[in-house]
Amino acid sequence: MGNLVTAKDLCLSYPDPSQGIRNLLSKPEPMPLALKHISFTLDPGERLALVGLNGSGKSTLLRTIAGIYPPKSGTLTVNGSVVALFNMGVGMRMDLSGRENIFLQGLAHGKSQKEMADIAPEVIDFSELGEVIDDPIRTYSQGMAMRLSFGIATALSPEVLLLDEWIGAGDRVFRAKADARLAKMVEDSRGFILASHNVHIVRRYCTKAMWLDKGKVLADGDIETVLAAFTEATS
Amino acid sequence: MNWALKNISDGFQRRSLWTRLAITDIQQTYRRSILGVAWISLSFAMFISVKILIFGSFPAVDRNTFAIWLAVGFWIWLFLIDAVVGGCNSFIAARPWIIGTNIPLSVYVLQTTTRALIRFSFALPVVVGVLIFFKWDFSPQWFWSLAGLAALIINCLWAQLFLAAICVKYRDFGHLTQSIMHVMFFLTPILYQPEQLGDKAYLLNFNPFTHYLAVVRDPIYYQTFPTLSWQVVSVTTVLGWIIALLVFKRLGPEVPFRV
Repeated sequence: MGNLVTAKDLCLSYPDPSQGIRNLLSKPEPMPLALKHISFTLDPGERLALVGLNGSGKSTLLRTIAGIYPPKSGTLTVNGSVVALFNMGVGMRMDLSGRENIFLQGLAHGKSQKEMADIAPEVIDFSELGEVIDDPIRTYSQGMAMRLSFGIATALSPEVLLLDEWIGAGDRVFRAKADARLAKMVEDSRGFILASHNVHIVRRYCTKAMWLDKGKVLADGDIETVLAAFTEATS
Repeated sequence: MNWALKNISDGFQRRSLWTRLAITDIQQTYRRSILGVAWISLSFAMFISVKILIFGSFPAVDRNTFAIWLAVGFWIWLFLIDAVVGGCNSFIAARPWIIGTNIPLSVYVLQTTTRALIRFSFALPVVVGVLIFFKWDFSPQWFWSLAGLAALIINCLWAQLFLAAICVKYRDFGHLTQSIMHVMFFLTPILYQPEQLGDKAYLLNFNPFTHYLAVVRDPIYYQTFPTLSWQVVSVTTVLGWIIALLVFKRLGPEVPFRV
């Protein structure tokens, strides 16, 4: 069993943002690279932190690993299922009930109807929505909707978990519960990649780090060494 | 070409997802209304009845045969316009899904086709009602219409793949397509029969939509197998798929960035 994630010389550029009939006529300028020759590996059991300032390419790299953005060149191999929690509650349907939304989200993540029937009770229990789970989520408060989407997102058990900032939900009391649940999900995954600005969170959950700047890797390896270099350069 | 074909076959395997998405779309539209999905049949029935009343009263028109002509023709048109206009928005409407998950893009095209098919099937009882009400004789030729429907679905898939991919990059294309479809409604023999155009009737043969309608409608209306129309449909199916795959291969990978 080799690496979970292997990236070799990964490059990515966004296509020219101009849209419309105009760019049929003139050839657009080539866009600068958003990711420049990135190589790294993630072995089973490793927890990687992506650090860097805004616009450094952390989210772009995560989306590439998640299989959303196709790289321009280089190779990327991911062995195992990936779950990326970027937009929690993506595709929630307001007029469907909480329960129907749980099943829809499950299908979107490739779960079968039967698998979801096993998962659903636990999600409902966790999100504390037992009484209203068959009401349309349009009638939920914002907090309730957040708890539901958080509950669904964290009910999946991927081999590789990708997080763009540590996510939480709910009031102070619920937050502790949510933290514990997400930590458990990280624990259960075989590999974990977290992009974050929060040095405390990164220290707590990750075993190694990679510092990105303008799409380039400036340092990677031992978490303390990378964090020290990063904080020194940016403070 | 590999990328495009793999995307389509991967998407095809997520059948429970795209059917569920399509059903949800329909539910979303009609939930909280008392009649719900019955509105699909009802609005279709209203349109047909009024058209039969007005156009069927013209002196040169036989109301009974016109009713069949219109009901079947407009029924197919409803599907075509639903599929084409929906296809323009397949990816645009799925934006949060596309940038948040790695679900193959073809899933959203299959979702749009399925949604159009569901709406289409809710209008079927009205067509059957018209056939019964005007005592149209059954003929075994009708089964050719099923083959025609299958051809329409296969054609809708390439058209949607093509339109969905191109409309993400060139937003004008969606509006252009809608405008063209409005014009095509009058250039396609739905509200009138080709014979009414006299010696200009042959011009209708240059409109592919004439043939898309004919492969379903002719077996029911004329009880014949429309050979010319099947030839045209076969050619556009092959050409359409080739063009759609080329466009999808070129523009598909850019969709998550642009949508």
